[in-house]
Amino acid sequence: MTTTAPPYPDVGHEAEPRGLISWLTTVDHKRIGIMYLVTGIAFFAIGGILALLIRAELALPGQQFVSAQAYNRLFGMHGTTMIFLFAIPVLVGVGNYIIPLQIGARDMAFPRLNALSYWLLLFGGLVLYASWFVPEGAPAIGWTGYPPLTNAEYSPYAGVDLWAISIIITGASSTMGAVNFITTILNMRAPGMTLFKMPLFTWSVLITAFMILIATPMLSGGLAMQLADRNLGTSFFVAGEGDPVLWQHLFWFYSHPAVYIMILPAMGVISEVLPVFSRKPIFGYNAITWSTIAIGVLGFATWAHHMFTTGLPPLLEAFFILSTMTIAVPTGVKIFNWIFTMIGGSLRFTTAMMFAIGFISMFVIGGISGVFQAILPIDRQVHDTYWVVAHLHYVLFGGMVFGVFSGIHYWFPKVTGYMLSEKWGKLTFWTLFLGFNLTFFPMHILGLLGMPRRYFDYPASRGWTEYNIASTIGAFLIALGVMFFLFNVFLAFRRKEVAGDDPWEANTLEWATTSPPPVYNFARIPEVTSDRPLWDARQKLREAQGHAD
Amino acid sequence: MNDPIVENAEEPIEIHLPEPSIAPLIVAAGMTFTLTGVLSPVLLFLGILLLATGIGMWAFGK
Repeated sequence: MTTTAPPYPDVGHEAEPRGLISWLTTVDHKRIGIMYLVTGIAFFAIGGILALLIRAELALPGQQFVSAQAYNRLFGMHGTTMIFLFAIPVLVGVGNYIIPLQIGARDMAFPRLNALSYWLLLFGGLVLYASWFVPEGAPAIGWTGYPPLTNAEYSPYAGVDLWAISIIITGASSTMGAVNFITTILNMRAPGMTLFKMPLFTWSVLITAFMILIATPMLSGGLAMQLADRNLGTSFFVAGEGDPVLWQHLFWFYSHPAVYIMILPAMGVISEVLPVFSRKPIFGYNAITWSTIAIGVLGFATWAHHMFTTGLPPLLEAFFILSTMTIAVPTGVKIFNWIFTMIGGSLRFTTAMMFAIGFISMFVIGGISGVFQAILPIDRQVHDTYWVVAHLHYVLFGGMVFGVFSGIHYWFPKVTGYMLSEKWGKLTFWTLFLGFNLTFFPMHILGLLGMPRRYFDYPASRGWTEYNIASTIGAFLIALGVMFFLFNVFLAFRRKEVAGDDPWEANTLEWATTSPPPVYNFARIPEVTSDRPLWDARQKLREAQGHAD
Repeated sequence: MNDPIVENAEEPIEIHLPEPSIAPLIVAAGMTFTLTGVLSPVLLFLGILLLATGIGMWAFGK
């Protein structure tokens, strides 16, 4: 692997502290980032196993091996795990590791708060999984936890309380992380790095952090009200005295922006990966930045499209149809800019690039099916069917997870100092790509055929069996793809192919330091003159070498 | 953590890095137990104890 030495001071490694205690007491953003990533991937594996159990049950009509109530627990825990313990934390992990390096800082603004955020996430996850061990077990309420199902009358067991508490704890973790990201990005950038010279990944994390800060208290407040209803005799969400639909407003005011909270950092990853492997500058830096800001703002004006079937006033229905369609505009701007970044470029089809292209193609499918659902008559038809399950997985798995895999393959050499195998990387990509489409594409058809989501069984006479079998085979292919990825990581530590400081000839500051970076990141804080400082530095180096020749 | 001094730059630079601390872990455990106190006063008591200890350690730089 050839490496272009960046013209920034490269100093030797400080001796890193070792041992378990050093990890328990660390406040280093890089170690905390790694802990977030490992925790997020572990919960991804657990949530994935739950998904396999769900798919195994649904493969054929009739009860296979879990009861209806156990099935209810499985899909509720799957959703909660994937959203709150994988999707959000894993991107926080990538951000934690990369952001200070990318803006030329030595750490996050509040290192101890950063550590507190991580530990809260872990403990929040443990509280959720502790619910399996209380009488009557884990909550059987889905990840949305709608009253009256969650009221003490219908779910009189501690698992539901633990579910609510765990989400409040992970929400506190996210909020503290958001404060840290905003302060770090606004105050600790390298000299010369104005806002519009910031890397696009940093921009996406900044906007995401603002969204977390605004949205999360709504959910935490709603969950506190649920706990009060269940334990203190209040009736915020009790029909007749309070209003169960109020919960849906509070929940979706958080959970629709949460889709963008999950997807924006993944979009940021794509905006870093595409120009590097197209060997040309990103097309439309300003357009991508402003569309990120627009998504951040519009993301708060679309929540009630999840509630069209609750009977909103017609004026509100019209507003939310319009706002939902409008948000497709900045998203489309990004997609066109990414495509134009690739056009005319000298493309390198590395694994990171393959996942980035996979992200775009799958996210477009998820986005278009989302625009369908914005149209009220279609929404009423497909609401609570497998169409919606297909749509959300195309956005969150095809979009966000492919973005995460792209980022992991891109930054793995920086974090570990070793290269992943491209052969195993591509095998991972194709297995996940095929498995993903085999799992989720048939769900569009199942939805249109009327198969309701959240049901543990279906009659053989409905003609849904073949699609369900295909979907289940696809789910096991996804599991195989994840195993290929884990094997590739294992192989990287075994082969120890040294990556060098900048194996991709990348553009941003994290590649200006050693791989892995020293504890202090940079011996001297670099000065920045454009949004791609390493590109500039290489150009100067080449020009100087040209003159010397 | 001792502040590392970079020797091989043009001139030595002192870099200030934060000390490791167990306080965030203890505060997080305290917050978690305090919230689960909804289910049991024992958990609530344990949580408040841990929270007070962690905040004290944090405040005094431990």
